[in-house]
Amino acid sequence: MSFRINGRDDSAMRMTRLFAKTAILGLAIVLTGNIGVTAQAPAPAQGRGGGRGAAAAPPSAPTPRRADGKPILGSVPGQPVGGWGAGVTTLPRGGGLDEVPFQPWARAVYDIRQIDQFEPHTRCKASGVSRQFSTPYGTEFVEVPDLQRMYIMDNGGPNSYRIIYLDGRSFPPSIAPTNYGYSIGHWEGDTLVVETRGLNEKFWMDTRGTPHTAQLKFTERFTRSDMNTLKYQATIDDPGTYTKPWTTTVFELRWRPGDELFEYICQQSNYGPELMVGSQEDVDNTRFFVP
Amino acid sequence: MRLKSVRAFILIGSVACLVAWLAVAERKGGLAVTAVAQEGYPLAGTWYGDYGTASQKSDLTVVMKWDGKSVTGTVNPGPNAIPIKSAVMDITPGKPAPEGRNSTTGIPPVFKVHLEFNAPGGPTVFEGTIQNPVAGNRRISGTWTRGAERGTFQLRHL
Repeated sequence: MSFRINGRDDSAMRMTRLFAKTAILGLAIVLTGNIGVTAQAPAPAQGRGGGRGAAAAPPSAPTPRRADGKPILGSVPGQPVGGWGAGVTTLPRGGGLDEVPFQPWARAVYDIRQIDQFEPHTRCKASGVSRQFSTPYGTEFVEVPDLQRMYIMDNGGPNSYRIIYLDGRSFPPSIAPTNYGYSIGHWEGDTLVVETRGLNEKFWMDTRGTPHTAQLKFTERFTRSDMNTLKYQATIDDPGTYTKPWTTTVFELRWRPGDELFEYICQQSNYGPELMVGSQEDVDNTRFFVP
Repeated sequence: MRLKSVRAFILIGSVACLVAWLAVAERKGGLAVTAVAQEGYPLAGTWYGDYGTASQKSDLTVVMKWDGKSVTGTVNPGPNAIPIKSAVMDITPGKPAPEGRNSTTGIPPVFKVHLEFNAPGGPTVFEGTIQNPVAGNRRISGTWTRGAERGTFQLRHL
């Protein structure tokens, strides 16, 4: 099955944006008279869409670091702002479905979602945890050391963001469930470990509908192994859905220099309307559904 | 004019008291989290509908929770709430379409529901099927029995 998500590839729009970027870059070169390559110059822009079909990138620069030695997961000061392309599609990809410890009802829900494909994300609902890293328009990590928190901005949905607290706090005793939940992070060496609780059931964790309940504790491990690569792995601990915790394979997100987020209001410019009105041939949209 | 002022004063005072109480309760962590629509475990959540016979229908509200192992809940919450004795799903697995094939060629799983509670009139059993079980507006319809009585019911997920 194809990669089916909101804001799917629109080649005309991509070409338009690429043309605009090229024009702006050319103008900047003319005006400044230099290109400004630095020691950690990132690989050439791959354009939107996760670099599918792009030429092989040159060897990547090393992991960028802050003055205190911690890796920088987002844009590097003094270099062009960038973002991470989509890298997570189906969480069970590593071991296959049979190795995921589904409870029987959860496997049945997963199976039926392959037929209905009524993903809340295609109806402009914010989608938390791993689903943030599935949209072709990418994500941007913004760490604010003074506030001891990080924001993960995502496009292609409701133009929203997730907050990761890095100040050493504990989880509140009671958390009102939300789409993004309550995320607390800490560093283990070069890996940022983020645990999220307080997630509601109004989104899918991936584009294929891997199910969860509000009992979910979702742990993510982010490791920027070099300038252009962010390794991502998740552990799903949800006794409401699975017989035991399980860990995904390691996914890789690719850095897209110069790829700034743009205003994408899903509700007014949904590029996948066929997912809502039912012209997609291989999706059964005949069943009555109110998002 | 004066009566309106008194009413306005009472209304504003009441709202202020409620806001103050909410603030205190929240600071003490005493506010329960508002229930949200459940789209994970298909039975979980609040259901509303009716049951009866062809000539007579009665309203029916069912609230169910899933703890990962079993379902608990009540029928018609309130002073006369009836605890659910048993609520289980019997799932017939489906057959998803092979990778690369149109998903609609797959056979969806079937979710049957068995619900038991002791109503004032005697032990009552509901047997039904969930329609559109992965959607927020899913429904259950089927038949019920209580001794010699029997009829149909329908519930929709709120």
